[in-house]
Amino acid sequence: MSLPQKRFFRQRAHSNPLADHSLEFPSCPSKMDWSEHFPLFFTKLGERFNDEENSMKTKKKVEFADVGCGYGGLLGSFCEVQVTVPRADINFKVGLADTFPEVLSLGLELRAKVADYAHKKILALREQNKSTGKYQNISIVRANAMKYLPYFFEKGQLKKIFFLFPDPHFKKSKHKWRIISPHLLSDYAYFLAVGGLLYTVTDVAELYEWEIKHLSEHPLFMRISNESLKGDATVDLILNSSEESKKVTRQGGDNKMGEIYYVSLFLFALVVF
Amino acid sequence: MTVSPQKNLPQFLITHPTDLSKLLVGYSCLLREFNLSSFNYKEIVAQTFKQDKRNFGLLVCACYSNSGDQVAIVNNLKELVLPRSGVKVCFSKDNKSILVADKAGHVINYCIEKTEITQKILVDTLSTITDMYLSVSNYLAVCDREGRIRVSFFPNAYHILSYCIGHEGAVTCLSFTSSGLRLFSGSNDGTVKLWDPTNGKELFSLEPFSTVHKHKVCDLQCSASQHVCVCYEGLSVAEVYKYSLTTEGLETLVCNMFMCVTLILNIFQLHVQSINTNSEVLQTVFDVENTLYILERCPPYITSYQFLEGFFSESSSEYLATDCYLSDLQ
Repeated sequence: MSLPQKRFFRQRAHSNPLADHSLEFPSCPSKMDWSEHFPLFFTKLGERFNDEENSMKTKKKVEFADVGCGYGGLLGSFCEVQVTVPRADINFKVGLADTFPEVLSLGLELRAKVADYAHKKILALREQNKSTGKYQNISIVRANAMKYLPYFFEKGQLKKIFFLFPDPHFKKSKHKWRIISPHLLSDYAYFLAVGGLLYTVTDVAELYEWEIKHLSEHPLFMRISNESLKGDATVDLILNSSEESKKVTRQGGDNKMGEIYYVSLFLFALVVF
Repeated sequence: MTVSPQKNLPQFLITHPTDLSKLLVGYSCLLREFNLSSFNYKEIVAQTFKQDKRNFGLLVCACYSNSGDQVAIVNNLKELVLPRSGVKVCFSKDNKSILVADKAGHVINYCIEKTEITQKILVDTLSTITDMYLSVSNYLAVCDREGRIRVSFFPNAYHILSYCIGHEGAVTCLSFTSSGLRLFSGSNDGTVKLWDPTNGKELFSLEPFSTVHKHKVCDLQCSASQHVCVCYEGLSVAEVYKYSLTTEGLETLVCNMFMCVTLILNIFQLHVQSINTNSEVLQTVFDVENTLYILERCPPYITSYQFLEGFFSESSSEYLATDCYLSDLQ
């Protein structure tokens, strides 16, 4: 199976998150059939794995969520595209699939064609890497993260949640479409386990200010400074492996890399009340 | 300018939190407080209403404060008492703030302690809120058109306690039990479900009319005596169920297939009484002494049922709620 080509999956950049798209979602998290997404880790709903080792797998849950994953860059990039890694001491791994092979990661994307592309890409990557069994721990679902997250995840299920290069929605009337907003943050805090991390990166200064403001004001999130995260593999992934970041690199040029990206990181802290 | 007489029909009923003889009846255009012992009523008009009563707008909902001395009214004109296209209103336990849920998905907290009313958005679901309930244990439950029930703490509504997910259609009505530890919900998918709001677990699901045609639940209410009354859209019957919770075995719940008459599980015991009315039931409400009031679409509009010897039996209430004409107001 060959990798899909983007030119056959053209899609309008914006999609109204408040509209009633014809989306499929389970009636509750326990009724979700994860075997469609992670066939090696789950059996069809209701069946059980036969041997001991495999039955441990069914206890796994999705722990990393990439909201607005786009073409699936963070989850698993193309193998043949090499990005210049600024520091030689880090082994370059391909997306979340490789860096965290034991963890199930799920991408959520609203736009139909983009989600379709990413889905086909994952299937092709799995097919190409059958011998090593890679890419079995990543998947994508076409979902509206603003409305339907409770149908997929349970309380405290996620350990990391990513918002990479979200749509800035500059106009004031469109601010309510922004993925980071005070009330959606309460939702994300619900799905994150205590001590879970929320990552954002953007190249739009105004959106960065907005995100920092609302995340800092939210009582359940605490900021972690970027310095304490140097060397965290995830931060490198965010900066290098998503499709948007590669585009920004191409356009901006290497010497401007530090100014283009704004990374912020927040920890879901314990609430004492 | 003459006003053609408009039929002014009862739309909703509110019982008083402490005084058994008072009943608030909301018509399309006005609000009356009925005194059941003296058989008369008094009209309630808000101070800030405009002089011209014809611009009152349509009443949407109202509620008593917990002390019973104040009433909050929401109508469909946004500039009056509470400036929101409200769906539901309730008072907080300490009477210091009013919560209004509106059609845009917000729950606004109006602090009425001082003369200057300050407001703050507590919750922003992204779809129309259909019902809201603040329990005595300070849990705020909000349900919406998507079928989600969001239970959070109050006043720190940013801390979500649980999402009760399981309904397959819009959730139309919510009611906490009197202890605040269990939540009933009714939905357009025809089911009534019982939840544990602390962890979002669905404890029980009831679907009495599933055989022929799915009937949407339009209202349900719990009483202090552990009864819950459910009414269905388009049906002229109100179902009353009694539930009892044993204290042990709440974690190991086993749900079996159910029949509509009597069910015995290791946790709940339900008895069903069907109350037949003349016309479609719009709303049911209990008062503190477990008298059940049922509002229906056609005369006699409101009938009350006393709970005697294990059953609800009708008591006379002819003097209540006849339709009135708009010209009566002048």
